[in-house]
Amino acid sequence: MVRFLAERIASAVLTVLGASILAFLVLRALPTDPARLIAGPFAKEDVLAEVRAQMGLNKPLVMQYVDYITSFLSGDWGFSYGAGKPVLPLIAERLPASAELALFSFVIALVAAVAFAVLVSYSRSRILDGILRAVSFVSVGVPPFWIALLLLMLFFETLGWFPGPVGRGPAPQHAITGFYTIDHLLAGNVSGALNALWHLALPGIALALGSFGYLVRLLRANLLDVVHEPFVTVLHSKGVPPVTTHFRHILPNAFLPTLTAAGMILAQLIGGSVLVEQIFTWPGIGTLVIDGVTRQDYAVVQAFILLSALIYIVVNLAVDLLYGYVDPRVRRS
Amino acid sequence: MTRAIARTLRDPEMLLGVSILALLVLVACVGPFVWRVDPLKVSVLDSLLPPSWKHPMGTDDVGRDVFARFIWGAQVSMGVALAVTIVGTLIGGLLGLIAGLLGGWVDLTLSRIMDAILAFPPLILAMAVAIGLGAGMVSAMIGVVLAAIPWYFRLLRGEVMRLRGMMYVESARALGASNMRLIRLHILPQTTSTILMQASSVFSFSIVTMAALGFVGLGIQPPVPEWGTMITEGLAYALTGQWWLGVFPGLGIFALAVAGNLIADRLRDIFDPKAGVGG
Amino acid sequence: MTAAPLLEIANLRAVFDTPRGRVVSVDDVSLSIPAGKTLGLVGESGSGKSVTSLSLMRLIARSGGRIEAGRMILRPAGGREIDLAALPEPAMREVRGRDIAMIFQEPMTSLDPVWSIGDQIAESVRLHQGVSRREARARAIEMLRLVGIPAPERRVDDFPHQLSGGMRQRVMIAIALSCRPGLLIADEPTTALDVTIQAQILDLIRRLQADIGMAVLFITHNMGVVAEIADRVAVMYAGQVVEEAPVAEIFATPRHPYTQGLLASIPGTTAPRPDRRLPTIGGMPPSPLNRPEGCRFAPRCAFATDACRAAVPPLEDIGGDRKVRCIRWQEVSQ
Repeated sequence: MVRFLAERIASAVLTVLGASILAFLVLRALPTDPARLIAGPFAKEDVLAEVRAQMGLNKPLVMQYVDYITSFLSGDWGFSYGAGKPVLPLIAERLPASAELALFSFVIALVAAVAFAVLVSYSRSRILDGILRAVSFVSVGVPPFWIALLLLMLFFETLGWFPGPVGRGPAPQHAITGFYTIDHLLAGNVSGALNALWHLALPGIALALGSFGYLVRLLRANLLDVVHEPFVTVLHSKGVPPVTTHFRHILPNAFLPTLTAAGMILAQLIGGSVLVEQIFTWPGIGTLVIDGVTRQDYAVVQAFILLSALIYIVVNLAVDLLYGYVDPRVRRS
Repeated sequence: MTRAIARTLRDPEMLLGVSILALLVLVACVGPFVWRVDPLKVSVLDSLLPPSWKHPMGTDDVGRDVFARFIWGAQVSMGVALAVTIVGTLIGGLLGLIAGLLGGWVDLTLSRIMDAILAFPPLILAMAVAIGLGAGMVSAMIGVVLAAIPWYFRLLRGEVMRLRGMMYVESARALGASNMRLIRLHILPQTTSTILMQASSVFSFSIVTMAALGFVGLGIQPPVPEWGTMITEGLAYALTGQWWLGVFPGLGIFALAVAGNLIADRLRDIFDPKAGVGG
Repeated sequence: MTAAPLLEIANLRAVFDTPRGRVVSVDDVSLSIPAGKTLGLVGESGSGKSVTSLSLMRLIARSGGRIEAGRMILRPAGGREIDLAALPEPAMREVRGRDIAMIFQEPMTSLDPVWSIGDQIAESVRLHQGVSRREARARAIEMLRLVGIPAPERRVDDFPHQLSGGMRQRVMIAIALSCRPGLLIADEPTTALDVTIQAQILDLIRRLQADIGMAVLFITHNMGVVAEIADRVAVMYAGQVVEEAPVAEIFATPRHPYTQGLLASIPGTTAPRPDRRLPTIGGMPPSPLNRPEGCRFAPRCAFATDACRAAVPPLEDIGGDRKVRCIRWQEVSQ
């Protein structure tokens, strides 16, 4: 177990290092003048010179990289000319919105995938299986930004059942976690929490669809594998009823290999909600980045790129460790 | 070849995937000759018309025929996706081959680099590259290729290592076969099937990612119609009732992506039923 | 008058509907086992011995099989008489584990990897005897002790991957016996184990059988094992029972040519001579889709005549509690 932990953490650290180098290179060592990228296309020559000095662009590349890393680690993520604020607090204040959306989507996708896959597996119906496969293909192939559009057109504009692209809804009184749902509940404001959920619904579903399609297919395959394992026959011979067999034995065994994939999906959701946020005017880091891109405020973009990689690596590490804890074969070795 | 065709015809999923693809390719290639409307022709009088016989997909805000743009967009999207897939395959595959054959610290370094690339959500990576190189079609393509390379790298490296361990490669080497010969005669034939599988997935991925980049303005620049940028235009009008602007291009992307995934999936089942998410 | 046997299988026919046709795996098989005794069911792969046991437990539906004819009467303690072939599924689930239990061939894959061995034993106990968690756990520890696992209080929370093959098989036995079933079906339980462990497991089964007083249906292809553990032996070939006799008799005077061949091919039963090769039975068993019209062993039998090939010989009662399916049995056993 300890060895497992050590290996995973070491690997993650190395990957972080590699990712940081890549993020550094992409925006610094490419043909476009980095100073111009950061200062904007309208900056004058003296501003550019100042930025270059500030960024230490006259130093050797390796030194620049070291500066980059040290300033990142010490919290200096640059200054956003567009927003007039340093980047770190800017991102920090918008991160919870994205995190809440990502987590919400993840939960819906996972729950729906488990429910559907278990239903199909338990029923052993070939028709349902076919439906599952069709649904999975459609879900995975749908571009999230397009489905977001469709959802808005149908459920907001035509039917009026859900709020439009207006973002999260009213903020709770005290921002403790930054998650509207939780903060409202903590303040005892149930209708506020429900309202927050109502606002989360459409963007959440748009994001969740792709993950759902992938997870349901994976889970179904894993369930199928487990169903054919010898120990299931042994369970039957003990007289264990089918429902118990399925939920107590088959599902946990099938879920383990799905766990790592699920983690990867969660990690991608946080960084990948960029377009959906844009469409729903969600005040998260996605819209922040898009604004940064369009306004050529590249300090924000640069920080965001490294941050997404970091989040991805950290979440995957967390899931790996969780897996190591949950699977008795790893825990007790 | 004929056996492959026969097998395709019997398999409903594969048939569906290939049909969709064929249909869209047909539309892209033959479309401009059949539907002789200029996609760039602006006509403010005819702006924002709903779908009709004259304009099967309606017109956009400056009166351009959406169907004509759709056809052109099909060419662009599919052509670009194809190019990206091929380049990605070549580069990623080559690197994977090298890493697998040479092993040692070459393998270690390359693997680490690929891991680093994989740490970025693909869209973000492509965006970063497109920004760094300046928005435009080529930069977007490079970005997508970069995001796709690690998949091929891993795939081929895995295959090479697996095959290296196999007896017949050992014996061939013992007989004095050089690396090149090994590659040509033994490794390539075995890996073609896995490459094809991955290629379809990457194709779908390219379509969606290029569209996404277009959506945020980093990809193919207007006035060249590309399904992604067309959806951006559609966004502005989505909530005012002009649904056709956003729906049709998205439908195109969706159809292509599904086709690519279907084909990839069936190929995987045919060539390696044990791998990945088998049916 | 002797008590009615615990288990009485009468004219069982189990079939599988495969894409290539209807396969009759168990063809008109009749067996019986008195309480407290062991019946050894012997045959090679494909003889139908495993399918017989699975049919008894009504576990063949999952692989596309069904019981087409016959009765399987179980007489558990308390005077009841149940026909397992006709029992509705919910009632059958109660019988499984409680009145009949089964242990399988592959201990390495027979346990659920994510639950502790204690939990898996307790599951049976709680299912059939409705006791509390604590009580079930105590029983599990007791069972582990009974099957000879050292320091059971500590090992009860171990997971299957922490145990060796022999230990896992003991756990299987613990699970099977946890509700004191009247009948234990052992389907080649020692085949996948080392020889020394084999002996230990056989020993364990014998001891527990004496303790609990249960009947055992022991399935194997290994005549040596049968000699050690069975009171009575039934030999199966191509889906049918071809010979049935008390164990001593079948080894001393096998009446069916197939049984003779089986016994002769055990190394050490025929006096070794440098020029003589180990006797084998030439040929292969018939494919279940393409069985001969007459005696199914005729193609491989040195004694076969046209009469043999004309019709399937009936299973004759030849006295001394023995049965043979061979019209020439008297000439054959010289």
